[in-house]
Order: sequence, then structure tokens, then C-alpha cells
Amino acid sequence: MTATMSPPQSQVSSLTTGKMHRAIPFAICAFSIAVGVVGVYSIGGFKWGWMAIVAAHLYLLLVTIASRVIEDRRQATDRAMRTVMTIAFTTVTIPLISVFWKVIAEGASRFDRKFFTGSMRITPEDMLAQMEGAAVGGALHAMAGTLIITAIAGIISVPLGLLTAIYLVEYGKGKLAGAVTRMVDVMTGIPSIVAGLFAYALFELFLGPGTRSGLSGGVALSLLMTPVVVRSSEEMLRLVPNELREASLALGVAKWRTILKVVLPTAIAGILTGITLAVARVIGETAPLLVTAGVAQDINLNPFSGRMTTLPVFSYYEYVQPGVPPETGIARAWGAALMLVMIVAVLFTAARIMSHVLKPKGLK
Amino acid sequence: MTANSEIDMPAQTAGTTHSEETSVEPVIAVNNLNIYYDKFLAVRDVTMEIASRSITALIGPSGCGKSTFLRSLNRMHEVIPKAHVDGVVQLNGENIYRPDVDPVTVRRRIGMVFQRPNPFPTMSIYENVLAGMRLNANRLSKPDADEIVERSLTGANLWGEVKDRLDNPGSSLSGGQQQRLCIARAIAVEPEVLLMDEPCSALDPISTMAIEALMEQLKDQFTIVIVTHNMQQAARVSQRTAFFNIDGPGQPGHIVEMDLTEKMFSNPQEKATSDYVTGRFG
Amino acid sequence: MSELRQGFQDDLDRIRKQVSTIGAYIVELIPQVTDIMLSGDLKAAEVVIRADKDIDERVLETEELILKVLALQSPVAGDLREVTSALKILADMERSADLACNICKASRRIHGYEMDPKLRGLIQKLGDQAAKEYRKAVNSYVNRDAMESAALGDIDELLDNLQRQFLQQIIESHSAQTIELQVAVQLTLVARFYERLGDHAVNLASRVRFIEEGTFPELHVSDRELSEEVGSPFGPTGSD
Repeated sequence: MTATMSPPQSQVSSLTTGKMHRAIPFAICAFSIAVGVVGVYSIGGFKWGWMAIVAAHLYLLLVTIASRVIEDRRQATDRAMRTVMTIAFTTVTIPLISVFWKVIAEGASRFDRKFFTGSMRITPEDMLAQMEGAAVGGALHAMAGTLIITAIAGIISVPLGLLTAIYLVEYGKGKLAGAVTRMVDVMTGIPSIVAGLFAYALFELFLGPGTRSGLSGGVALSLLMTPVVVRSSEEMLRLVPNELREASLALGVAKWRTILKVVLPTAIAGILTGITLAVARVIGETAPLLVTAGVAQDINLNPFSGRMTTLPVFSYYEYVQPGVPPETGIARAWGAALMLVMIVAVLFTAARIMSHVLKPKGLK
Repeated sequence: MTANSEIDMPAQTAGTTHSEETSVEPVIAVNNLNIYYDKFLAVRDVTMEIASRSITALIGPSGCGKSTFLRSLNRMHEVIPKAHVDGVVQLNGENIYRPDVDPVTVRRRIGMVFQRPNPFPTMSIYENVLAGMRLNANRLSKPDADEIVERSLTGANLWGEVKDRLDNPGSSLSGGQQQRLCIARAIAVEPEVLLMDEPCSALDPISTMAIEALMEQLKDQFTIVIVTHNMQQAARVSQRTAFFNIDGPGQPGHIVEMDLTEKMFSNPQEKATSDYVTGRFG
Repeated sequence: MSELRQGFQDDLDRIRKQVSTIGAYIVELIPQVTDIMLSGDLKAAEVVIRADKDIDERVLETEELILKVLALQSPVAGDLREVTSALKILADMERSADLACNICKASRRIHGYEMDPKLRGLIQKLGDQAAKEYRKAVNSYVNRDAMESAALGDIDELLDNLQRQFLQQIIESHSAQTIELQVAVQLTLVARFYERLGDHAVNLASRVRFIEEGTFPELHVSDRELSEEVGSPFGPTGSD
């Protein structure tokens, strides 16, 4: 008999593989969760975190093996990577949502008129009322401080940063440009307290020791903000296609006009986003402002003299010295945090709107 | 063989007896032009003339320096740092490379259209056409501006297609239309010479034909110099053709032969030219 | 870089080869028909007349190839001159083959009639001269030799003279009644045919000059036709 006889089997096409039924991943998921819950509970009780970790790993392992068996190697790798990415995404998103949730939940307790219109200049009657449990004190002075100091920082960094970026992209081709780029790189890494100390020392030099002012705070923040503005503006300017510059030059337009009227308008959307990011970087700084702008209880609108509190500093102090009873201080701290988050959200939304409006319709 | 001796002044004067010439004076005269990128000699020793109100084509293999040469005619190659030239380029008798000449003013008289259409994305069609004037802060009254826009777009054979949507962004047009918009933008400032660097390379065949028909009309008003990779295009549109060649990688490009287009394509004098146009190399 | 446009190059070579082949055939044909004329070999005449169809077919074939090259390859410069000249050369050659055919037909018509030795001698000379010129022309094409072709115009003078001599002799012979009228008429035509063969050879040579040098050939035939029209075949011809 011929030894080469083989049982009849259907032609296996080289183009297709087995297909895993759609329900299988769900089944594996359910199974993993069950194992995770039961397993962790039986060892140490309701520890959600560990349950999630065990379930996730088990799912990853099982679905990859299943795919390898039913489908083929490439599909298995594909599924594994997708699972890993989903897990990573979830791991990142959950804390984010959790933070937002917490801030809103806690901060809402001080979402009252007094908080938005008053400062921490409190009368003895208020102190008594506070001990009774009333909500006392406000953060208006801190809000004003944040806006003023951030504005000062912006006024200093945006022009400086933008012009530096323009120099680096459009004009700088030699050694100086290289040096500037390197220095900007270094500046992006300055610890914020160092920036604060530098600003303090600078003002001490000119105005004597112990000087505290909003201006000093603004200077400190601008040290942190400028490199970010330079870097992102530089990127945006480099993205402007060279052919636009050439088209303008070929029309007999001078270089500076080309930059001002062709390159900048084309890059403005991205530059605004970059500036917004830079603002977001510095608006939450606490350490440098402690040193430069200090803490105040009153509303101080003069940046040139006197201490000025910002929202993060206020929040910090309310946490450290909450007063009596301590819950009121903590509540004020949360309230300030919520305010800060809201301001940043408004800023970003405004930036996106402006970006959209100014964006050249032709650019992708 | 000194290729330069082949730049036939006799052939050119023989050419000027042809009836299509309306002016005997060349509008651009190049003399012993050497073009450098820093220390590197990119194009060596070019001497030639561009006849007025005609189309001159520059052809040659990749890297032969024809685009570099074209850009040197309106000092655009200087945009690259440390690029400079040695020699003379005369626009209607004036040397544009004299030390006291500002490249910006040269470029107002010699315009340029590029390979890929590049309308300004932040501007509408209307604003794009006027860009040459607006960017230079020329004040224009509305009626004057309207007139210039209509004239330029008509000159570029685009008016009929866009006159109802002048406020649309420049980039909302098709590729061929965008290129015609760029041409309109270039001619709006009324240059004397229009340089075109492979203007049809990025376009489909129909758009290409539209641009070629446009060039045929434009040459009554402007002097046109076009660099093209497409020999059939050079043969179709130009009155005179110059063939540039390069001896080897790293060598400077140079001009081999320049003559009436019909002669270049029916009976070229130099073997290198013949080999190139018949596709034996390149 | 000869790998570029290899297909195109092959087409050009094929065109050249086909034209050369047809030319070579005609060069062989001319002495053949001269012999037929002198020997009166009817069978041989028949063969030649029938073979003319093949020539026509070949010419058509080559024309189609040329059309294809023109449409698809956009030849320029030297290639363009070669290809367009080939068309003209083929027309000349096709006509030449027809002329040779006509000589055979004339030979058939005078079959059986007497021709005196003087006439026979002149026919031989005409045939030899025409063959010589045609050979020179085709050689210059095959070898791409413009120099050879330049000489041809002058050599053709000889053929013209021979033709005039021949006509003179025909008239004398007819007056002396050594030949019949029919023979005289046919021989006159034959003289014409040989002379036209020579003209075609000269044209061919001019085309070769054009291919190689790029200068336009003089339109040889029309000049001479003009001067011939003035005189009549039976009376004194022109001033020469």
C-alpha cells in the first residue's frame, strides 16, 4: 500500500487564518475578572487595585495564548499589543479622572459668593463664626495675584521668547545660534526654586533685602516660561513650509516683512498653543512665589510693592495653617485648587478657539 | 572642446532675423557667470542672452545646475547662506550684481513661479493676487485693487473660474488652478521677466497644457525663462533652448549649446546635446 | 548608456535593415531587367512582374513600423531625420521597383521584334549606368556615407546623356526603318524608365546627406521634369 496516502483534508488557503469568535475575548475578560476578584479577596479582602492588576495580567496572558492557538502568530502579537495599550491608556486615564473628580467634589463645598469676592482679611467675628462651622474667608486676593503675576510673566516671556525663536529659525545660522539653542535647552531644566531665588536675589540687589513684590514673582515665572515659549515657537516656525518664504521673497518682499506677514500668521495657531502650554506650566508654581511674592491676606493689586498671594501659594498655606477648625482651611485649599483648574480650563479653551479662528484654512 | 565657444553669437544673430522677434535687444545678458555655494563651484562660466518677449527653455540632466542658474537670474539663490556669484548678469543693461544693488528690488522686476504651487494659506484668492503689493505696504484704493486683481487673474486665464469666489482661501483651488494663481500673483507686480522653475512638474497633463497655453499668451507681454525636465515641453513652448550638462558628480554644471529650439531638436551641433535630446543619456 | 531606449533603438535598426534590404533587391533587379530586355525572356519577365507585389508589401510593412515609432517614441534630431527620410526613401524605392517592372512589361510588348545592335548596345549601357548609380546610392545609405552620395549628382549627367543618345538613335533607326513603330515607342519609354531610375538614385543619395548632415536636399526630380516638359520626346530636345 502506498505510504504516502494522507487523509483527505480541505485545502488550507495561504491567505486566510483561523478566526477567533467575537465572544471569546469577552469570555476571557469575564473569567479573568472573576479570578482576580475571588483570588485577591480570599487572600486579603477587597483590594480593588490588586484585583484589577491580577485580572489585567491574566486577561493579557490568556487572550494572547488563545489567539496564538486559534489564529496565528501575527494576530496574537497584534492582540497582545492592543491589550497592553488599552491597559496603559486606562492606567493613565483613571488617576486623571480621579483627580478631577476629587477637586470638583471637594472644591464645590466652597463654591459660594464669599469665596469669590472676599480675601483672607477676617474680622474676629468671622473667626468666631468659623468656629461654629460657617464658611469664612475668600480667595479673591489669590485669584487677582495669580492673574497679575502670570500676566507679568507673560508680558516678559512671550515677546522675548517669540523674538528669540524667530532669530533662531530665520536668521541664526552660525555659532551664536548654536550657543543660544544650547542655553535655552539648559533653561528648560531650571528647578523652579532656583528661578525664584534668582529673582529674589536680583531684586535684593536693586531694592534691598526682604523685597517682596508681584513683579519679582513675575520675573521668576518668566525665567521658567521663556524657554518653553522659545522651544514651541521654534517648532511651529520650522513647520512653515519653506516654499512660502520663497514665494514671498520672489515677489520682492524684504525678509523681515516676509516673517511678519507670511511666516508668523501661518504659524500663529501653533504658537498660541505653545504659549498656552507655557502659561499652564507656570501658573501652578508655588516654590518660587513663596520666595518672591510671599503671602498676603489682603487684596494687593500693585505688582511693584507688597506681597501678593497666588492661588497655589494660598492653597498651600491653607493646608499648612488651616486655622480653627482645620476643616475650614482644608476646604479653602480645595476651593483654591478648583479655581486654578477652572482658570486653566478657560485658558485652554480660549486658546483652542483662537487657534481655530486664526488657523489658515489651507493648512492641514 | 571649450563648450563656451559653442554659445553661438552667430547662431543667435542668425536667430534674430526670424520674424517672431519683436525686439533685437536682449533683456538679460549673462557674462562669464560662475555660481558658488560657499566654496563649491556649482555652475561655471555661463555666457548667454535671453531674448525679449520670448520663451527660453533651460534643459539638462539632474544636477546640471539649470535651476541654480535660473535662481541666480533674480538673486534668489542668495537665500541660501554663503551663496555668491562671480560675473555679470545684466537686466536691460544694468548689472544686477553690482554691490550697491538691493536683491529685493531686483526681484520686483524679475518674478518667479515655483515647481509646487504655493499660494499663501492665510490669504484669500483676492489677497493672494495682491500679495506682492500688500506685503510691501503699498496703499491701494479698492477700485485700483479690484482692477489689478481682475487684470492679473485674466492674464493668468483664471478669472472666469474664480471671479465668484475671490474670498475663498487660496488653497481651496485645484493644483492647476493654484499654479495659475501663483502666476497671477507674480504678474500682478508687472515684472519684466518671469522665471519658471519646472512649473508643471506637479500637475496633471491637462493642467500642464493649460499652463503652456497661458505661457504662449504671456510671452507677448513678458520675457519668460523656464527650466523643465520635460523635453517635449521645452520643444513645444520655447523659441530658444539652452542645454546644460554636468561632467560628473561633484563637477560644476555648464552650458553646452544654446540655439533656436527647432534647431536644437532637429539638428543640434554638439554630440552631447544630440545624445541628451534623443534620450541616449540623461 | 546604451541600455536606454533599447526598444526604440531596435526599431530604428529594423527600419534601417528593411530599407537596405529593399534597396539591395532593386540594385540586383536593374541588371536583371536589362537582360530581360535584351534577351526577350518572357518567363523571367513574368517572375519579375509578379514579385513587384512583394516589394509593395514590404514597403507598406516598413511604413507601418515607421508610423509606430513616430507615434510612440517621439524621435527628435538625428532619429527624426532618419525616420522621416526613410519614408521618402521607401517611396522612391517603391517607384523604382515599379519602373523596373515597367521595363519588363515593355520587353513583353516588343517580344519577337528586331532591335538593331546599336540600340542593343545603348540599352546595355543605360542599364549598367542606372545599376551603378543605384548601387552607389544604396551603399551610401547602408554605410551612412554622405560623401559617396554627394558625387552622385554629377554621375547622373552621364545617364541623361546616354538617354539623349538613345533617343537620337531610336529616331535614326526608325527613319532608316530598321525598327517598327511599336518598338520605337516602347524603347522610348524604356529610356525614360532608366533615366527615372537614375533620378530616384540621386534622390536617395540626397536623403542620405540630409540624414547625416541635416541640410535639405535639392528636389532633383522636379527641376529636370520642368526642363523636360518643354521639349517633346520625338523632336529635338532642349539646348544640350
